[in-house]
Amino acid sequence: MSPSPPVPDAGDTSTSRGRGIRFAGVSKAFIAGNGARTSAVREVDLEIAEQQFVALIGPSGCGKSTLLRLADGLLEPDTGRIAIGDAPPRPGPAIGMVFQNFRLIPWRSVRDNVGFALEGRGLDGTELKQRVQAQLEQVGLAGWDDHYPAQLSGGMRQRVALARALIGRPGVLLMDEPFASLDAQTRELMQDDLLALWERQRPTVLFVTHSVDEALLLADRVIVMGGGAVLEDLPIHLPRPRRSTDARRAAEYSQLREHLWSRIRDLVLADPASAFFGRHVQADGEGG
Amino acid sequence: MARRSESASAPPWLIAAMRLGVLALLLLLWALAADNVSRNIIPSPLETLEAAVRLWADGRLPGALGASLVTYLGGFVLAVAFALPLGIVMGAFGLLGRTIEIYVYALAATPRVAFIPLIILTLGLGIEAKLFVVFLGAVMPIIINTYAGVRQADPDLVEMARSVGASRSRIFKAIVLPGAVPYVLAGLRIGATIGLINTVVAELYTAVTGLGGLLALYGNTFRMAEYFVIVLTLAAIGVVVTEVLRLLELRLTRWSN
Ligand SMILES: Nc1ncnc2c1ncn2[C@@H]1O[C@H](COP(=O)(O)OP(=O)(O)OP(=O)(O)O)[C@@H](O)[C@H]1O
Ligand SMILES: [Mg+2]
Repeated sequence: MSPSPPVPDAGDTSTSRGRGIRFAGVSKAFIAGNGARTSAVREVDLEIAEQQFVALIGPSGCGKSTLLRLADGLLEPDTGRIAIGDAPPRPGPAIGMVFQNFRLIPWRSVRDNVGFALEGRGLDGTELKQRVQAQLEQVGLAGWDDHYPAQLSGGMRQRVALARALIGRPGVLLMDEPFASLDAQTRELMQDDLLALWERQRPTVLFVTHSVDEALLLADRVIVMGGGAVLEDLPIHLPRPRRSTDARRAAEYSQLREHLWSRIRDLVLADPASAFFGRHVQADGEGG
Repeated sequence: MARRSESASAPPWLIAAMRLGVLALLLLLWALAADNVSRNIIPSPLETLEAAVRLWADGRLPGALGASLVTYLGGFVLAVAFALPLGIVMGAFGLLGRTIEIYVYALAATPRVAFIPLIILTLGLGIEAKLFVVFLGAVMPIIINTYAGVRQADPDLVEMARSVGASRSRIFKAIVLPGAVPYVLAGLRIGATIGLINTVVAELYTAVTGLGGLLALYGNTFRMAEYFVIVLTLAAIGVVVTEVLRLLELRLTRWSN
C-alpha cells in the first residue's frame, strides 16, 4: 500500500531530509455518541519549513494531539488540506510518531518492537535486524535487543519508542508530549539527545509539550494553540546548539518565558472547564 | 504486575513444602474424621489406599480412567477447535459478533444438563453423546473469552500500528491476537473445569461408564473406600489439567516479568 521507504545500506541511520508540513484551512470535529459535537481543530493555517523544529503548546484539550494525528494521516480533516512535502500525509514509517505513553508492544522484545515499523515491507530478516541494531545503537540502547518493555525504565522505553519512530528514516517527526511522563533528570538527558539528533539529521519536528521551558529549549518556533485554533506563532532566536543546562542563561530566554507563561495562564483561566483555576480566581477576587 | 512478581518471589521449594504441610494436615483431619464418624460413611486413609491398590490391580480403575480421559480430552479438544476460531471471527467482524453474541450468552446461561434428554435422543448413549456433553460445557466460556479478548484489543497499540502503516491483517496478527491470549487462557481454564464436571455428568446420564459410572456404583452400594478413590482420582485430574494450563500461561506470558 504505502511505498517502501528507500533502503540504503543497513548501517545508515540517517533520516531522510526534513520535509515541509502545510496546513491550509484545516478543521476537525468529533461527534460524540450522544450527538454532541466537539470542534477539536478549527481553521488552522500553518506552514512549517523543511527541517524546522516547532513546539506546539496550549491548554489541555485545545487540539494539539488531534493536529498531530492529522499530520500523521491517522485522521482525515473535515475541511482544508494538509501536505507533507507535496503529498497528503499517509501513515507509515516515513512519518515518525512518538506518543506520550510509549505504546510498546509488551510481548515483543526491544528488537521486535523497533523492527515492527518496517515489517511487511519486503526487507529480508538480516537486513531488518542490522537496521534495528544500528538504530538501537543510535538511541543508546545497544545490547538491549532481547529485553522486554516490562524490564526497562521509563527513559529506556521512550528510547525504544524513539528508535521505532526513527527507523523508517522519517523526514517528519511528530512527538506528542514524549517526555511528559519521565523524571526530571531523564527528561533533560532525552532533550539533549533529541537536540543532538536533530542537529545532525535535521528532520522536520512538530513537538507537543505542556512545558514552556521544554518548548524554549528545543524549538525554532513556538505555536500557542487554544480552543482548536492557532493563537500565536512565536519565533525563537536563541542561539544553537542549545543544551538543557545552558539554554536558560540567554537574556532573551526569561522574556520569552514570561510572555508564553502569561499567555498560557490566560488561556487556562479563560477556560470554563478548568474548575480548579476558576475557584482560584474567585478566591483572589474576594480577597482583593 | 509488581504484586504478581512479589508473590512469585517466594522460592518454589517453600511453596512445595507448604503444600505438603497442608496435605499432611488434611490427611490428619481425614483420619480424625474417620475415627469419629462411622466407618461406613468415612473410610480411613489407609482403607482408601488399600481400595485404590485393589481397584488398580484388578484393572477397573485404569479402565475407567482411560474411558473418562477419552471423553474428557476428546470433548475438550473439540470445544477448543470450535470455540477458538468462532470467538476470533466474532471479535474480528464486529457485526457478526454483535449478531451472534446474544445467542451464545443465552446458551451459556442455560444449564447444560437440560439438553441431555435431547442429546440422548439424537446421539444415543454412546461416546458421541458423551463427547457432545463435554463439548457443550467447555465450548461457551472459550468462545465468550476469546471474543472478549479480541474485542478488547488495546486501542493505543492499534493506533500505533496504524501510524507505522501496518495493514489491517498485520495489526490483527501482531497486536489483536496476541493481546487476546490472556483472555483465551482464562477461557480454557474455565472450559476445562466445566468439561470435567460434564464428563462425570455424561457418564452418569448416558451409558454408565468411566469414573462417573464407578462413582454411581460405589456410591449407591455404600462402598465408601472405593467411592473415595474415585473422588480423589477426579480431583487429581483437575489438578493436573489446571497445572498444565498454568504452565502454558507462564510460557506464553514470559514477557510480563
Ligand atoms: N477520538 C475522539 N473522539 C471524540 N472527541 C475527541 C477525540 N479525540 C479528541 N477529542 C476531543 O477533541 C478535543 C481536543 O483533543 P486533543 O486530544 O487534540 O487535545 P490536546 O490538546 O492534545 O489535549 P491534552 O493536552 O490533554 O493532550 C478534546 O475536547 C477532546 O475531548
Ligand atoms: Mg494530547
